[in-house]
Amino acid sequence: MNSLIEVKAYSIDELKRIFALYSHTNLAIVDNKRQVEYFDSYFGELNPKTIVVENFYIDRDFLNDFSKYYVRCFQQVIDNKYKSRCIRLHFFSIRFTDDEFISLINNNSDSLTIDELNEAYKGFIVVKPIPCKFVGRSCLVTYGTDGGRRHYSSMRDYNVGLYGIPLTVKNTMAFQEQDSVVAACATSALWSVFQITGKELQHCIPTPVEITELATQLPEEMVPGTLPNTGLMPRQMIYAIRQLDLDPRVIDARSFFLFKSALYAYLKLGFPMILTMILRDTSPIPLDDFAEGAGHAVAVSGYSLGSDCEPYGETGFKLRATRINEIYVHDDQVGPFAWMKFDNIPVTIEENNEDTNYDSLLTSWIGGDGNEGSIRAIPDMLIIPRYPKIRINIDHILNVVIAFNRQIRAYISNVEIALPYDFEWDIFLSKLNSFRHDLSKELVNYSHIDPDVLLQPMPRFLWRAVAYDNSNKIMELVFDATDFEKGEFFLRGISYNQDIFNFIIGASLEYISDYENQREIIWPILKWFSEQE
Amino acid sequence: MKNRLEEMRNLGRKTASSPRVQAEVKKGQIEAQKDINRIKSLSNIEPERFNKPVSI
Repeated sequence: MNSLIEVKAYSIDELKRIFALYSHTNLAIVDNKRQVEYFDSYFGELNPKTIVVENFYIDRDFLNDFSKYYVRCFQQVIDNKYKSRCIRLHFFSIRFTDDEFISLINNNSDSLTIDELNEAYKGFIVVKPIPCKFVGRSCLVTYGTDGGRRHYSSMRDYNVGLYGIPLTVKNTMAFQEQDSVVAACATSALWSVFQITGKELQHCIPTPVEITELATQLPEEMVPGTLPNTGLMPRQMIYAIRQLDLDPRVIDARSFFLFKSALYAYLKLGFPMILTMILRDTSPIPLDDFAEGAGHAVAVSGYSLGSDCEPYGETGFKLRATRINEIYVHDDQVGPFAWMKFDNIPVTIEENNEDTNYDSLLTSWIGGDGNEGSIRAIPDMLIIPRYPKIRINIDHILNVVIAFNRQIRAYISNVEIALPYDFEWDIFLSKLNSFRHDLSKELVNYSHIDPDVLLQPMPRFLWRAVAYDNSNKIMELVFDATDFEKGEFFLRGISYNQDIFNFIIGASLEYISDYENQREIIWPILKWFSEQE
Repeated sequence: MKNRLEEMRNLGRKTASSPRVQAEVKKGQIEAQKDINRIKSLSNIEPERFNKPVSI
């Protein structure tokens, strides 16, 4: 056995033993740690059979945290109390021995191949050498999609080198828990989000301590004692995002319609986001920290779609995003891809000396009564780090499509022949390449679509609004996401139902004949339709 | 095929010019404006919420 590598059969007890041993944490504390309980249930789904322990691992994030804080602790100076080195645990869904693994490294294995290992790779967890808060950078594959219900949109591949063996964790987002010293929950959530935006938009990916430093450079917040860090305010989180040349868009998450719309639209583009919330313990005897509500932040990476829309407002507008019934978040106090569920239960919190009811989410947090879910989350803000050229916001697109939908419903519902008019709209941001890719697939099914649409010059980011009648596509409206609200940002329509498309062309000719209508926000769309005659 | 295209366009124009449909359009515009105003009102977040600590 080589002391640098250990190969162990997976069991939750073995995992706990390794956590305790390398982080110098009492096993009883490890046993009761929420994240460890979560890993137990998560690995119940991933079903790993073998753990490879990489006993000498230098983690960039922890080394940076160590150099900025732990190295200067008195206990470290006199007694090397804290270590700068981590270990990394790799999880595989096949069984193999240490001899078989060493043979593979030495390129003389006849029983195990690199392809087999990659196929069985479920990801890794870095264990930091600090007591209690030891869950470092962790990249694990996601749960399955459960028949297409679950969507994990803001993901990337992580390449791993394990003693010369190239491995890849596919489609995931890195997770780590706060150490409550250089990072609090807000920092951990930002760190996870930057893992994706950094790769996608080519910015440097700061370590936790660097994120805390960026956030606390906000000029009005320049106070002594940045570290240890006990938390950030939303304005500091926004400042940290700006420091990376991203444009943060903030959505009021207390309105579930806007919350779900924005979450869906930006995740479809592949951008993760921060959700801030108030956690409140609804147990009869609540935990002190959560009795009045406590601020928390998580990184949102996915969602689950149910079968029903919730019609919105006076117009009864049907938006696909309102089908969201669960979101998946990196909650540093729970684990990666933890669920939060929409279950329509309001929670009362006191604000400005008044009790106010807010919609809340079911969580897997355990409250004072010892039950999972008794701590509930009241969403507060959705903070979306955007590419700065995405200038048209979700609320404006919603306004335009709501008005357009109501207008054409007034026309179609009064026509002499039976045509569908109660549409469900799928509204999301898209890259031009995705739009072209999707459209090229549709050319097979819809021969009337002019293939030259694929060659039409268009901007890099698009808002797309697709109308459905049940599962049948009716039409798509394409908007320039990089323009401005008063500009000519409607680009074109795509017809998937020729009868309805031509009917709207006819109706639009009547509409544009009244110049009074030029003030309406749907004028550019119907004008475009009228020009298709 | 071309006949169907013309038929649908004519039907669209005829429907949109009907006074009854134009009244329905007006009603719809008022409803849509209410929804738009509601969304606009949701777009403003009280400044003090940006200063609440996020610290669990």
